[in-house]
Amino acid sequence: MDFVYHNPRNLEQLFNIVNGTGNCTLFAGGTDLLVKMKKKLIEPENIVDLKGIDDLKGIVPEGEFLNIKPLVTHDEIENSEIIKKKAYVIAEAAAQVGSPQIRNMGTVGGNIGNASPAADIVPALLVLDAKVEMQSIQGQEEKELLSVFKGPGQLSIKKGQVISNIKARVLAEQEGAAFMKSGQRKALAISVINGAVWLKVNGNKIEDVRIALGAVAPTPIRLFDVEKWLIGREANEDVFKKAGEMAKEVVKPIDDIRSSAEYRKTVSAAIVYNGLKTALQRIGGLSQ
Amino acid sequence: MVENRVVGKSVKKIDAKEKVLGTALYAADIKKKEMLYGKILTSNITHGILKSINTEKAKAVKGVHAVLTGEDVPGLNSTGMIIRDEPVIVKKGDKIRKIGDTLAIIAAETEEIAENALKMIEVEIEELTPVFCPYEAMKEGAPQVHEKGNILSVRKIIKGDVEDTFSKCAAVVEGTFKTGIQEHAYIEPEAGIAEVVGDVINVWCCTQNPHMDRKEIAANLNVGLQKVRVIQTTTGGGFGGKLDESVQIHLALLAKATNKPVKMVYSREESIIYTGKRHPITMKYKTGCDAQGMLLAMECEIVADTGAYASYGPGVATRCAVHATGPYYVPNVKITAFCIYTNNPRSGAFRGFGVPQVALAHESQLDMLAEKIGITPYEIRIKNALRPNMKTATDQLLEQSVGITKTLEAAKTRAEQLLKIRL
Amino acid sequence: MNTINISFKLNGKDMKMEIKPQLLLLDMLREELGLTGTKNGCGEGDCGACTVLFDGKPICSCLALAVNADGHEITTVEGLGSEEKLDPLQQAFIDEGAVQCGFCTPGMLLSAKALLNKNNDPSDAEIKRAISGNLCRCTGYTKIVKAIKKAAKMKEV
Ligand SMILES: Cc1cc2nc3c(=O)[nH]c(=O)nc-3n(C[C@H](O)[C@H](O)[C@H](O)COP(=O)(O)OP(=O)(O)OC[C@H]3O[C@@H](n4cnc5c(N)ncnc54)[C@H](O)[C@@H]3O)c2cc1C
Ligand code: FES
Ligand code: FES
Repeated sequence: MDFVYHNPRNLEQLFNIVNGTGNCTLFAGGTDLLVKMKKKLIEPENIVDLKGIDDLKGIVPEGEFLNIKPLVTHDEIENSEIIKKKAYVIAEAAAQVGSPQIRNMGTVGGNIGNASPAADIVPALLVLDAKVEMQSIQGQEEKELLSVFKGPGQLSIKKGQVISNIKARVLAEQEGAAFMKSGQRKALAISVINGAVWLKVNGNKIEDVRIALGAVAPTPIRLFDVEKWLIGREANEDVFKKAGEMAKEVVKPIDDIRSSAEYRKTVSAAIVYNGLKTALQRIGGLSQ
Repeated sequence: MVENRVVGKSVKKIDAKEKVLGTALYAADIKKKEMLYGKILTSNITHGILKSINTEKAKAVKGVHAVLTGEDVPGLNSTGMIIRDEPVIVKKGDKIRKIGDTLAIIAAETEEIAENALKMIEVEIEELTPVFCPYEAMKEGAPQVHEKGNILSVRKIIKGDVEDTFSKCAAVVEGTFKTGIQEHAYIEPEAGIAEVVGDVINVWCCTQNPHMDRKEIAANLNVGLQKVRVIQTTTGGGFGGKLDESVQIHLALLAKATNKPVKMVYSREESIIYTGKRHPITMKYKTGCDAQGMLLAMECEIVADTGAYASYGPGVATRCAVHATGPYYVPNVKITAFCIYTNNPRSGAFRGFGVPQVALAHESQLDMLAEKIGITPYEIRIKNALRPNMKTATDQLLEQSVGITKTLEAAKTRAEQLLKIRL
Repeated sequence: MNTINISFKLNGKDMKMEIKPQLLLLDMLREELGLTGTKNGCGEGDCGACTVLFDGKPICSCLALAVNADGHEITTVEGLGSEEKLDPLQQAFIDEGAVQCGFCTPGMLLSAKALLNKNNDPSDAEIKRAISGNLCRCTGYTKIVKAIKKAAKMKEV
């Protein structure tokens, strides 16, 4: 490994570095970067360590959104009282990332920045209608989280920009959510497939719904067709089952080292069905 | 009666205290003054001939103290626990038989220098058609992994008359069972350090086999046994995988060539690529019993893929044959066990030595028979379990205790408690 | 080559080091400071043999830059107990036979330590979760879980 190390203490210093230096790689927890650097898959010239920047830390509620700063670790998410209360689906996802060690190091910004189709935090954020704020010397830009993924490992981010905030919509009355993951083992497993569901009901009618799946396409996806079909229907087992079957048809996963496309399709159905059911139970709508 | 201090007692591990304190020295923890670091250049093709190898550029790199090829091995240039069929460093003109065969070894002042110098070595390899399936390898005209042919060993156990017995059985079942290749994955990757003191070469390494290491080092350095000392360091797991040679001979060669201490520590990736595995085995079984479920005959063909080199393969295949009937009494058997060379990774010793593989087959056959004649899996096992004064497939008379019935009973009781069922 | 000065607490003692920024925390501990109790089993965050405590929380030192120790507190197995005075966890690991080859042991002890620091009466499930980032190929974990449970109940030995 051969890189120049930069350690900005605030955003101004950060922007000076990224604009005044050649190729810069932003470095947060390093759990994705160092693995790639050790294997020489990437050889960064400049490492810009973000961990000294306090503006990129912390969880701050703001109206119907939670501002989750990019340096927040999975462990912090899992144990955050406010997230457990108002956006528990993110805590549920964070709790299933890697191992205690990885959760103490890895960050939510890195989970997005790495742009892995299997990232665990991403589906949970997607169903909470998350936006990403990108900041640069030119100013700030807000994007839909879904729109920042271009392909495996490819993030739509301009040179000089940094993810400076992630906004997730808090759960309100009559809203429930769930995250589910299937890996090759229970701990320390990259998702073979993962997914999250958010559901809003009015009486026993589905008023609104969001479904996101990971590792079934080159980027994390939303199942807009299934969502559309669900809206206005009754929230019950049969409907949820049908939604699962529909999910199986719309996803186009691939065979890879972790699993087969066939398996991923089958589990997609299970995640959508179980996710909807669990979300409804959490609203208090479905007994057991 | 004399109080026994060990048998039947929980004994505290003698080195547990150093291990919990973190002071126990594993090979990678040892440092010596002016120590160099060793690295290996290995083949990334499965089958070929090393046409040429040029190390001049690598030798010229600053900080590199030695680059050795097959020509520089003064002794046999061959290692192997049962038969010597594996080159220590593949010599120019000789064969490469798997990914991970050593082509050159380097000692340099840092690991980084060694790694960079590796890239300067120029090799020319003529690729040969590889063979990965042991059944293909057994066929006439298959690519030959070794000159003497791909069938490394055949073991047969024949007792009674299986053909005739099958025709009289109340139930006969057949099946083919396959197990996969498996890595030991001990948490400590291979490591060692060698140093020449006077005319004695000392090698500290993680190993399960220091005596064998010593013999192999002496034979390949062409020195007497008295000139080699192997000191086993605290070893972070082996499970059979540290019975074969890994860093030992390479380190001895490098220490001798540079006259400095040389250390080598495999990365996890290197450990997985370079070292042995559990044999993948295919087992074709046919088993018959009478109407009560008493086993009468078993016929099986076992094919163990030992990969590019024998390692403990013939031993593993033999144990497969000997244990093919499991812990059960079978009066008529016809067992054939093959050990076959392919261009796959070398397989060797791994906890159980072939016995876990055949267990999949004989246990499945018993389940199939039980179902066919309508008794429980437990009944068929307890009925056929070997007991004292019975004979195994190889006609060994079991004179002392045989633990299987007790084990089955205990397992049944436990399963009934846990699963809340009656077996 | 540029170097960076860092100061941090290591096993309770103040440390100052001048290091290359490329240096990994694991290598600083093992190679520069001679603290070889911390092991390298995979170098990729998968095995946990390199676990150290960073401000009391377990991390993989194989995936951390040494510069990130600056201003923080690092605990390695060497800081857990001494020849004369073992940590209850160390004693329990010996007594329960939770140590075999011992290569996973330092990392395992530190993950367990982090757990017991915040929970002095953990359930089996909590223990298993706390050591889920530490692979052991020898013991089958049962005795490790037992030892951690026992240590939670032990007074300092
Ligand atoms: C053993 C192991 C197990 C793992 N298990 C899981 C798992 O179960 N689930 C899972 O989802 N992931 C897993 N990961 C992957 C990884 O830990 C997570 O993706 C983690 O969230 C990455 O965060 P980081 O801070 O370490 O990222 P880094 O490695 O620091 O960065 C990752 C990428 O994001 C970019 N980046 C970081 N911060 C920003 C920012 N603020 N703005 C713009 N770009 C940024 C970096 O430039 C880099 O390209 C695992 C990794 C390991 C090593
Ligand atoms: S060496 Fe760090 S996790 Fe394996
Ligand atoms: S004791 Fe050997 S790996 Fe745990």
